[in-house]
Order: sequence, then structure tokens, then C-alpha cells
Amino acid sequence: MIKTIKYIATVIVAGMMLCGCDSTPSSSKILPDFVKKVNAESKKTGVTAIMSDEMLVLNLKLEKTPENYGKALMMRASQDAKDCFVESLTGRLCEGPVLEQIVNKELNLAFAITVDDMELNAVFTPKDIKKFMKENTK
Amino acid sequence: MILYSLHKYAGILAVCLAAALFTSCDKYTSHVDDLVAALPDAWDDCDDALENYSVDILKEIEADPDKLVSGTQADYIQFGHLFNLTQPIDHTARAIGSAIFGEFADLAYAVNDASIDNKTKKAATQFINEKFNQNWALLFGAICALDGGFELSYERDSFTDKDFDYEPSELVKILKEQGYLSGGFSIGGMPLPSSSDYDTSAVEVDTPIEVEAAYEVVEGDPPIEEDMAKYSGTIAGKEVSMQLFYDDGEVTGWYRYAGNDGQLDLTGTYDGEFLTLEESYNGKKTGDLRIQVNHNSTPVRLSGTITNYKGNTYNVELSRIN
Repeated sequence: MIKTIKYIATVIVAGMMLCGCDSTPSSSKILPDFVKKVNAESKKTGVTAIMSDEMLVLNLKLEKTPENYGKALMMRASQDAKDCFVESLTGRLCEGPVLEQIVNKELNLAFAITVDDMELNAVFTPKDIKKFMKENTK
Repeated sequence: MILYSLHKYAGILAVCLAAALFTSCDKYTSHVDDLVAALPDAWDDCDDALENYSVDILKEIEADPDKLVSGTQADYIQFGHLFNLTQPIDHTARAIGSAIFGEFADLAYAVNDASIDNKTKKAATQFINEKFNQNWALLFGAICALDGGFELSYERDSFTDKDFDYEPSELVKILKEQGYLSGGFSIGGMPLPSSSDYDTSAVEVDTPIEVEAAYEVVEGDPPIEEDMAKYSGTIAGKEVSMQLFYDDGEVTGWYRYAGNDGQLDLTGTYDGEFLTLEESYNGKKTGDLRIQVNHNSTPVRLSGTITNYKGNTYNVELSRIN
């Protein structure tokens, strides 16, 4: 009897502890939580997030080095590099609650790279996101 | 009996519950990390493409340095990505000149030689700035991307010349002064909202990020036609320039936002009073414009609305400028 109670207590404690962990947030909180999490870790990852009514923007701010300026300028001029960038981005995105929420809320997902006042943007519509979610979960 | 069963399975149940909850937690974190890592990883993936393109640019300009300055010679040393541009002195012309004009030609060349001797890096930079064009921008961008170097030489003969070396940081300075490092463009054809549209109230960011409206860069200048009308004004409160080509009721054209090189295509009709236009990017429809043409005003004014793909409507106010 005592052992049984002990096991039941273990189950309850384990459940309580794990519920306290940052598990999948409720639907309405997913995007705000995501933005907070990204910005909390921006010093480590170099990526910041901003959400507007229409768009979630993830921004990688590059160091102002001549090499980065040069690469950004070459990216602006090279269709091959643009294609490579978009292909890599779409290949790396996978299904998940954040993308699902972006689609549900009809938001666009924008990836921006900035070096000073140079900008490179890749924008995906909910339709695009649905497409690569479907492709990545085949 | 029930208690006995609980006793028997409670341990397994605890482990299963813990595993399920832990997996759920980890799954969310994993998706978040994937999404955040996608951007720097994709940028890294482009490195090879950017490097190859940069090398191609340097080779192209080496083969045809007249793109930069007429009569120059170029030498691209791939090891270290050093690019040398030389302005040679034509010694044949000097010899012929001396034969015909004697001491006068020698004096002229002596003055020329002296001017080379007196050249400073400031003068060389001024020379570059005066000749600067898209090819110079690509050359300097490619050198920076490859962390190489640039040398401008004035060559008098095979033994004496004068060289000026430029580090990538100096090339960036020239690129900035020439306006090649500002403005944005997009891959995807959709304008990003201006920074004022962002709701940052719930987000803690050390430095607010400004992302201006941006469009795909379209190579080359638009065609010039006799029945072309140029307009300037605002769309959705942002400054734009527009060109329309009228052809017996059919209308084609484009517009672009101030500070952006790229353009959005327009096609549609004009019935004598209203322009009905479809906006597209890369062949993909992105919006509809309904604009009234007011011929009674001077200059001719266009006013109407644009409705984007999401159904949001914005004002269009333009005036003819040609």
C-alpha cells in the first residue's frame, strides 16, 4: 500500500515537474512566445524576431565587415545566389507549431539579412509555407 | 486488487508520462531552433555560390577592362584575389611623336611623366570615383566578398610605374559614397511593412530593426517609347515613380518605390477615364489598381486605390511629370 502511494506520488510529481517545463504553448501564445524566445537568445544566435499584423520577420544582422558588404552586394546581383539562398531556406524549414500558426493567422514569413543599411529579404506567403510543409512531411 | 495493479504498473506509467511530456517539450524547442537556425545556415550555404560568382565577375572584367576605363589593362591573380588595373603609356606613340615633333613631344611626355610622379592616392581615388559605374561596383563587391585587394597602376615603361593599393575597407568606403550599399531588395516579391507598422510593444529587442519596403532588382533600364507617360506620387503613403505605355486602350508599365531599384509590373486597360491595372511580380499577380485619370488638372493627376493580394486597400495619388 505504501509502495503504491509512493509510485502514484512519483507519477504526480513527474507530471507536475514536466508541466512546468516549456512544453508546446497554447495556440494563441505560440507566436508571441516564439518571438520572445528568439529575442531572448539573439545574442547567442544573431537572429532577432519582430511580428507585425501581416508578417513575422526573422532578421540576421551581420557584422559590418567588408566581406559581408561584398557578399550582400554580390547576392543582390546574382540570381544563382538568390536561388541557392531560397532553396536552402525552404529545405531547412519543417512542419511545426510555429509554422502552423503562421499559416493559420495568414501571416507572411520574412527572413531578412542586414549589413548596416543593406538588406536582403526572402518573403514566404502562407501558401508558400503550406507547400514546403507538405513537401517536408512526405 | 486495484491497488495491487496500480502498484504494479505505476512505475511504467510514470516513465511513459515523463517521456511523453518531455518529447512534447523538446519537439517545440526543436522546431523553434530549426526556424531560427534556417537563416544563418542558408546564408552559409550561399557562400560557395557567392564566391563562384565573385570569381566570375573578376575574370569577366579582367577579360574586358574597358568596362571600367577605356584603354586600361587588367590582371587578376586568383591566389589572394588581387586585381590590378593598369593605365599604360603608349611608347610607340611617344616615339612617333618625338620623330615628328622632336623636343616638343619629348617635353609633352616629360610633363605627362611628371604628372604621374605627382599623383597621389587622393587623385587616384578621385579618378576612380569619376569613372565609377555598375561594373566598378561589381568589381569592388567581388573583391570585398573574396577578401582580396585592388591596385591601380600608372605605367610609364617596363621599369617604372606608380601603384596605389586599396584594401577592402577602402573599397567599401567608395561603394558607400557611390550609393551602392543602400536600399534593399527581396527574394519573393512582396514588400515588407515599414518599421512603423511593427508591433514591438510586446517584444523586447535591444535595437529595433528597420526593414524598409523592398523589391526584386530588375536588371537593365525599362524601354523608352513615344507614348510613354511618367508619373510620380505616392502609393500607400510611400513615394513611387511610375511609367505607363499606352497602346490603343491597352496599358503596360511598371512602378517602383523610392530608394529601391526593383520594379513591379503593371498591365491593364484605359477606357478614357479609368485605368484598370493588375500589379504583378515575376508573373505572379500581387494586386489590383483602379485609378481615375483627371485630364482637367495641370499636370494630369491620377487618383485611385490599390488592393493587395490580402484584400487590403491603399490610396494611389500620382501626377504626370513628362
